[in-house]
Amino acid sequence: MDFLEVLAEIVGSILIFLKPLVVPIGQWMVDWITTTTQFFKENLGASLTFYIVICAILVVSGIVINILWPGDRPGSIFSKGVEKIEEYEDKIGVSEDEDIVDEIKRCKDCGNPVGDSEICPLCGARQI
Amino acid sequence: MRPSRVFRLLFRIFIFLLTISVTVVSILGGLSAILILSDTDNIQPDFDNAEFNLDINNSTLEIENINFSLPFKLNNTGFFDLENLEVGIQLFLNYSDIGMMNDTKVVKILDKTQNFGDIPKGVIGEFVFFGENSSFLHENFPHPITEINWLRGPPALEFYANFTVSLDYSIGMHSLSITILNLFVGDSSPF
Amino acid sequence: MGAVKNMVRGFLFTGIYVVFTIVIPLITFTLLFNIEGLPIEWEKQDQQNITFWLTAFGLLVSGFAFFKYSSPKQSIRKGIFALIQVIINCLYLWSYRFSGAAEITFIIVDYGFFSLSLAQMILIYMGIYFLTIILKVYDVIDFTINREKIRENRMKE
Repeated sequence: MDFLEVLAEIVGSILIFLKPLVVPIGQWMVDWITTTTQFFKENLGASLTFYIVICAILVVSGIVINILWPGDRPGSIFSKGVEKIEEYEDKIGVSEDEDIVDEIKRCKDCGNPVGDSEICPLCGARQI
Repeated sequence: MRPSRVFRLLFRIFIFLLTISVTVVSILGGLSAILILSDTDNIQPDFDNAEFNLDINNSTLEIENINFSLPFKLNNTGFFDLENLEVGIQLFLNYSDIGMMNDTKVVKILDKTQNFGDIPKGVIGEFVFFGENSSFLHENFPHPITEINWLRGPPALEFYANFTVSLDYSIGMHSLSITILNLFVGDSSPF
Repeated sequence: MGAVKNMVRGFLFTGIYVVFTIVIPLITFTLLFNIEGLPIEWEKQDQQNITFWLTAFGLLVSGFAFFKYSSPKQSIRKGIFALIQVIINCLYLWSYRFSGAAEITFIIVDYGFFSLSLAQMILIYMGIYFLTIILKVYDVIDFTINREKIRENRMKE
């Protein structure tokens, strides 16, 4: 009995201290839960079909997502995509370090981009 | 363990402690209720010292003053304070109405709720419920000559009461209310 | 191998949730509704409300439980679905209110009645539920910020 009295003192003190903080939060929780359940009641309270469909969608999508991204290795779709890009890069021999800007033809004299033109549109120098 | 997980663990322990506290307080509250209600000596309405005073004007036969008092004791043998103790009494008068072919009629003559505050744990609270003249519903009293059949019975008048005792316990988490209906409290007969 | 393990765990917990949130409450309430002479009386509408909403929210809770428990440890999707599951759980618990669980009244035959209100206790439990929601939100933020580190650790395992 003494033990229970001490226990009652301790838990009582914890609860007296935290009750003014927790009860208003609980009241707020009850308010939004009441509003939400009211919404469910008015709009989705006719049959269980909606809930069964949502449950089935969750389970099926859970299975699919787990197959694609199991979590203990890079996801299968992602890794296959990366492999394909690397394969393609190897084939065409493109280095990751190469810059596309470097590939543009420039005028030998002024450095202006000339493209496939034989004469620089800026300084008129021939590009042969 | 990452520092964020350590913080989470501490927060989790805090929630767990709070949940355990609420559960333990609920269990001890239930145990308190058993401790108090299991012994009839813990709740003692003192009917022997209850008083009912009725002064009737001899010429007009109208009620001049009426009051009622009931002492009672409540022993808080539980683990927590009993808070917000309220006692409500509704008093009914049963009589035969001459005007209605001597049909039995029941009228409410008192409706009062009194708050007695808190009873700390381990303390015996001694209180007196007092129904003063103004608490009585004078407009409901039957006229002694034109309405009450004094030859009925005996008794010509019977008094019944509804008692309601309500209080909060378990640090205000539980609100308890006990209602006793139609308890015979007395009668009166001039013949 | 990880996917199979995750799904087995998901199905296991979904089963547990279906049993505890739908099957046991429905059996209990069906038995209670059919017992005669109980001091508590239920309206037909109350019975329909209780069974419908327990099943409806029980299905949602179980569905989200599958997603949560089949997700990898400390993953963002696990955090998000755990959060949604706690919120749906609040709605589920609140549907018990239709059973009159917050206000219990017993009729004492030839004497009167006894009533017990648990409204304040429910408010405290709801406050604690809010703290659990905060914890789940914290998890989602933590899993998002420390995504790379969590992933590295998981790959090592």
